[in-house]
Amino acid sequence: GIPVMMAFRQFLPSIPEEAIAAGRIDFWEMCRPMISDPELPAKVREGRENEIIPCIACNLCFSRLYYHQPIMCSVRPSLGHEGDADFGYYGFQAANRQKKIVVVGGGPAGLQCAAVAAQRGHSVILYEQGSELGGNILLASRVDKGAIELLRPIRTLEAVCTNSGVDIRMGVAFSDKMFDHDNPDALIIASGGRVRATPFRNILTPAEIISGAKPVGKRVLIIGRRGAGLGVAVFLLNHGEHEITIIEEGTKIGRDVNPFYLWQYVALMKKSKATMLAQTRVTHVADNAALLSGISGDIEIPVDTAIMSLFDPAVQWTAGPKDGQDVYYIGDARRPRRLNNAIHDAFKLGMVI
Amino acid sequence: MIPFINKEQCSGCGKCEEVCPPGALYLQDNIIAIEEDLCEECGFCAAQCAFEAITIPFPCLKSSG
Repeated sequence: GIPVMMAFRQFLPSIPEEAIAAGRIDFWEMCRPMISDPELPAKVREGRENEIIPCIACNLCFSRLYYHQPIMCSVRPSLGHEGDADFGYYGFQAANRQKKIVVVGGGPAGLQCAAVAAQRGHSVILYEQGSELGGNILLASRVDKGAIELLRPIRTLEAVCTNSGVDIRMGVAFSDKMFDHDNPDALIIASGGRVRATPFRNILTPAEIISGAKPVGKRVLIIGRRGAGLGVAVFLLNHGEHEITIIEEGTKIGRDVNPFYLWQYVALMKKSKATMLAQTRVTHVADNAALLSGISGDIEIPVDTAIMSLFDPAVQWTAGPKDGQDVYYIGDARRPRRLNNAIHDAFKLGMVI
Repeated sequence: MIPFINKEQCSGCGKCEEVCPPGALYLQDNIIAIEEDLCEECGFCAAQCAFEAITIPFPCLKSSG
């Protein structure tokens, strides 16, 4: 017959190898997986599959091309810079002076920074206060069924960190006393953002919703229409019947969401008859209602559960640093943005620290 | 060559924020602001702005007064 080659989300070897062995396809075709890791075939051949930097189909690469701008990859900052030795595509050069570095936070930013710093010869301790690595990716991975693949780059970063000698300490919340005890040359805060405070009681956070820690009523108000808010909405609609009102003070829904995916979320909102309001803020939250204020005036809506999905940067670490000690902030701790910003902040700091 | 922002021209559309590779630009009260430490001086923000609210102060322009 005619030889068949196929791509389409075959990002790791197991599925295509099984399909080839069963004669369903003849070739495993790869575009995006080779953008996130051109070494993929070599790593499979050498039995280093756990080191493959996996494509997560975020389509940042595509959307950069639609802006007529140089391509970028969320999970591989060295894309396009393979010829620049500082980016370490062919291996990092050792840093001039070995430093003791403490990284706070085992999410994507913390792991990526620790990995690069350790590969450059630094002595790195990474503290994660929870029992699992991944930070907010742990939440994102539960938004819908396919999202579980978002944990793959976390596994790869964990493998690279372990192979590079990063001392990962789980279940440990970093403190001033530990800072004094460890006495690092540099402290890197990668602990994520903080959910924005409000003057109202009983406002839940995305973590409380997605972890199932708190019950959610039928009528839901979500404050914030960025990726986090839309993620909470999609999660809720996947797990029950809800009447959702989602609001923001800005104008454009999903400003930080890739247009490739945004239309799907908006379509799901419309199908479930969600109310999406721009230029609107909440002025009061009572037990089963909320007062909203928008450009056409004030309205009161019935609300069982209100959720804040906007984030602010981390609290500044002021207690620790003495002379000669540097403190850096990366990822959402610096300013809440997207996964590609966390990974890129982290990689680029690791390159120069 | 950190971008110069003309606040009066800025429409708050946020296109520049979307294209900024390191995420250095952010809307604050519907006007764009920049986190200079993150800026990689790539100029994509200025290229994207339909309102000429962001310009790159290249040295040759500076010297023309």
